[in-house]
Amino acid sequence: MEKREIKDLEIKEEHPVEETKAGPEEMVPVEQPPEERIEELEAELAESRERYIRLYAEFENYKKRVQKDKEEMLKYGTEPLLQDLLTVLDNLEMAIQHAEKEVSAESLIQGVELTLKEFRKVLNKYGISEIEAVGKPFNPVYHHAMSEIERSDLDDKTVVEEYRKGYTLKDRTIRPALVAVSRKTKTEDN
Amino acid sequence: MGKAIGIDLGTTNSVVAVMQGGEPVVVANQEGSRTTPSVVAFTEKGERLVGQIAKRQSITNPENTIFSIKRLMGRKYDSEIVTEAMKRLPYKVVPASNGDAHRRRYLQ
Repeated sequence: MEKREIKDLEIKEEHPVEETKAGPEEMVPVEQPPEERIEELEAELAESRERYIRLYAEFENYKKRVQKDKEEMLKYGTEPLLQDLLTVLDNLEMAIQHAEKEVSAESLIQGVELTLKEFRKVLNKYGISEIEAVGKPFNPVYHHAMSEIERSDLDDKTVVEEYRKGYTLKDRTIRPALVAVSRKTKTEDN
Repeated sequence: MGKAIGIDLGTTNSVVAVMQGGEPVVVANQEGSRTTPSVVAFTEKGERLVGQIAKRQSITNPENTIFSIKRLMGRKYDSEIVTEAMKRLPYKVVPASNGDAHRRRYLQ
């Protein structure tokens, strides 16, 4: 017991401890003095604040960078597509030049057909497809109904006429087909 | 905690935005558009169509394609505005038990 008391005294000199209810025979865990804990917490808080400020600054820079990239993409995003279309432009100019020299309508038509083929090829390369309409069941994702036509020979809501072609770009409808849709009526012979 | 969104529910078109990085950002719809027509349609098959797609089938389904509903919102069935609007709306409008204008529910 004497030994322990001396130990306690030594401890008390270096780290002042709060009074506990434990008697001298029980082992008391050494608690951290509050001033020390406060210092610790203040240091942690200061570090956290700094980290937050640095992160926020980085965030602002990131936003600016992303905005700049976005503007660049919007400005020049069509560049590859347009580059490929320049060939089509060339062909059309040549067609007009030749047509001015040669009178033959046939060769002009041939020339335009070839150019049309080239144009379609470029569009397909970039993911444009024609929407199928006539004969298909009406689907508002791809078709825009302009009128209804009574038909006894077709299933209800079948596309019967296409007023204007529609196109998709990859998985998105960029222009719906304008169509007439059938409405089923009973046949006249009853 | 979920995000709060802001909705501009217009008579003809609606817009939705969300706060992102301290700024409001408009949210594009499934078709990639930043505005959506304020149209809802209920099909025979029991589907619910929204926006541009609902608009495209409206002439094939006039009684169940709802548009310009904002004109009726908050109004009583017996009001002049509702009576006038009903003349131009292909879908049925009926009084609710408290006298409000209600759109007649599909299949009822």
